[in-house]
This record gives sequence, C-alpha cells and structure tokens, in this order.
Amino acid sequence: MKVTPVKFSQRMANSLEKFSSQGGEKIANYINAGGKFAIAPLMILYNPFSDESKENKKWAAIKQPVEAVVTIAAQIAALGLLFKGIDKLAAKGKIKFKLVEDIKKSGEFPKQILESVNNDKTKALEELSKDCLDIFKDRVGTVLTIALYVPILALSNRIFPKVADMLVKDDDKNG
Amino acid sequence: MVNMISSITQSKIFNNHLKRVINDDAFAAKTIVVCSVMKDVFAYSVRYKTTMENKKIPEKRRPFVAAMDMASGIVTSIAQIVVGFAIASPKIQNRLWNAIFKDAQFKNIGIAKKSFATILALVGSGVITERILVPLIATPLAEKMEKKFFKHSDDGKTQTTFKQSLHIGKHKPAMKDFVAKSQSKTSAKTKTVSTSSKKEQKTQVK
Repeated sequence: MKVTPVKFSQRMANSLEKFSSQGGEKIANYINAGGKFAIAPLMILYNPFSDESKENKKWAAIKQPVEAVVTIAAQIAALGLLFKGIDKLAAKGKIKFKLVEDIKKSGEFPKQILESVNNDKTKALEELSKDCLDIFKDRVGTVLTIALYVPILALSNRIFPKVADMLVKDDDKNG
Repeated sequence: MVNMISSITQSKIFNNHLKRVINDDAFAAKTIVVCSVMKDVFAYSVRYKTTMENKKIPEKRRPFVAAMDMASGIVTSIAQIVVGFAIASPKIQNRLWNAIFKDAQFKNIGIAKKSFATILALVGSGVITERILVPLIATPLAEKMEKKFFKHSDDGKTQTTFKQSLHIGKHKPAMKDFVAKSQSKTSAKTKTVSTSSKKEQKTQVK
C-alpha cells in the first residue's frame, strides 16, 4: 500500500484549525509567553548595541523565562476556570447576545458565517452564537489577564532573584 | 453576576463591536493587538513599580532592571501597534494566505482565515517586534535612562529623578491659586473696563 505524504500546506492548515479552537485570548497568551521564554533573554544577553555589564544583563535576562513560566501557568489555570464558568452559564441560556436576537428576527446573517455553513440558517445561528460567545470570552479574558498581572508579577519577582542569584556569580551581593 | 453579564451582552456598544469583529478579519486582528498592548502597558508599569520596591534585587542591579522594564514598556507599546496594524491589513494577509495555504483544505475557511490574521498579527507584534526589535532598542535606551533618571541616595537606596528631570512636583497646584488667578483676571478686566469708560466720559465732556 502506498502512503502519500501530507503536504506542508495541509499540515499547516490542520495545525491552524487546531490552534483556532483555543480562542484569541489564549493564543495571545501562548505566543506572548513563548516569545518571552525563548527569545527575550537571548536578545537582552547578546544585544550588540548595549554596553551594560554582563552580570546586569544576565539578571535582566533571567527575569524573562521565570516570568513567562509563572505567567502562563497562572493564566491557563485562571482563564480555564473563567471560560468553564461562562460556558456553563451559556449552556443554561443565561448569556444572550442582542446581536443574535436581532439576527434571529431579521434573518440577515453575516456573509462570512452563511458562506462557512453553506447557507444553512440553522447552522449559521449556532455558529453566530458560538462566535459571539468566543469574542465575549476573549474580552473578559483580557480583563482577567490584566488583573492577574499584579499577583503574577509579585510572585515572579519573589522567585526570579533567587534563580538569578543561583545562576549569576556575583562577588558583591549587597550591591 | 448574570445581571452584570447581560448588561454587557445587551449593550449597543458591545454588540456593534461583535458585528465588526465577525464581519472584518482585519479589525478582529487589530483588536487582539490593542488588547495585547493594553496588557503590556499595564504589566510593564506594575513590573517597574515592583522592581523598584523589590529589595531582593541588589541595589546596584536594580536601576538597570527597572530602567529596562520602563524602556521596554514605552518602546513595545508604540512598535507593537505599528507592526501589528500593518500586518493585519487585508493586502498582506491575502498575499501570505495564498503563499502558505494555496492547495490546503479547511473544514471552516472563515474561522481559519480569522485565526490566521490574528496569529500573524500577534507573531509580528508580540514576537518579532516585542521580543526582537524592542530589546534591541530598549536595552541601549534603558542604559541612557539608568544614567539620567536613576541614582543611589546617600544611604545607598535606588531613587528616580523623574520629578526633577521633568520639572514635576516643584509647584503643586492648589485651589487657592486657581481662585486667586481668576480673581486677579476679573479685577484686571474690571480695571480695563473702568478705564475705558472714564476715557469715554472725558471725550464726551470735551
């Protein structure tokens, strides 16, 4: 039996669809944490335009991955709980969007949604309700993420000096 | 809680926002970029404050770490908006979409396109700009800020000199000053009025 290899563009398409199901706010947080963990410390350490001492750069660089780990862990946990709660309320019919109600009456669906479900109006209504709920979750998620920064940064500020102290050899620790 | 949620989900502003996000992929991507910048501005402000107050960071390291937080915050918010908005434009989106997904099949192409726009704008603004361009600009900027705005006090503590440099806090405006100013203005006006009326009277006598 001959197995045909999956094209690169199709693999990219599959991963894009998988990633899409996560929602905008979660995607933003993953991208932010990934960049902060992997790229930011390298850029601080090997910046050709900087004359700062190596030790100072190391201290500033170590802060990035520590903060990235603490931040993404807290965000995944908190946003997971929040989104679960919102989904539960929506399933009970306690979250209703004016836009969905208006479109239900008028029957004028957005073009993009109608095209995506082959002009099936029942499916289009489901899709529209899902889209509205996802956007709502994203916006509430942004507010929660902002609110979380205070405890997250307080925690990472406690952890990172300990990690930096272990990794950076500093003769004059009292500064 | 449910009342609070329904006040948002039934509001005109939020539903107009929903309509635009659903109909316009570029607007959806730009919204995510703005949200990301909002988070960054808030996070860098908190970071700067907590770094300045963090006694676990040695005093000699603190000015640079704090200056780095502040410089990164300023540069990142401007650069992310510029790059994110540019990448979110439909022209760039269509070109990249055709280049990567020319022969690919999707279950729901609408959702995939929207996610592609969002991810691309976020990678452009949040990774390339924030993590590569910003540190390149922010690190030398932080060095300059550290020298200009941070100093060690006599007891060795880290202090900022923003107020002196930006001439803030030399004179605190008080209500008395406003009242005094307005009174002096009105008295000056009445004086000019009275002198002009005297002049008119004199000309009439003549």
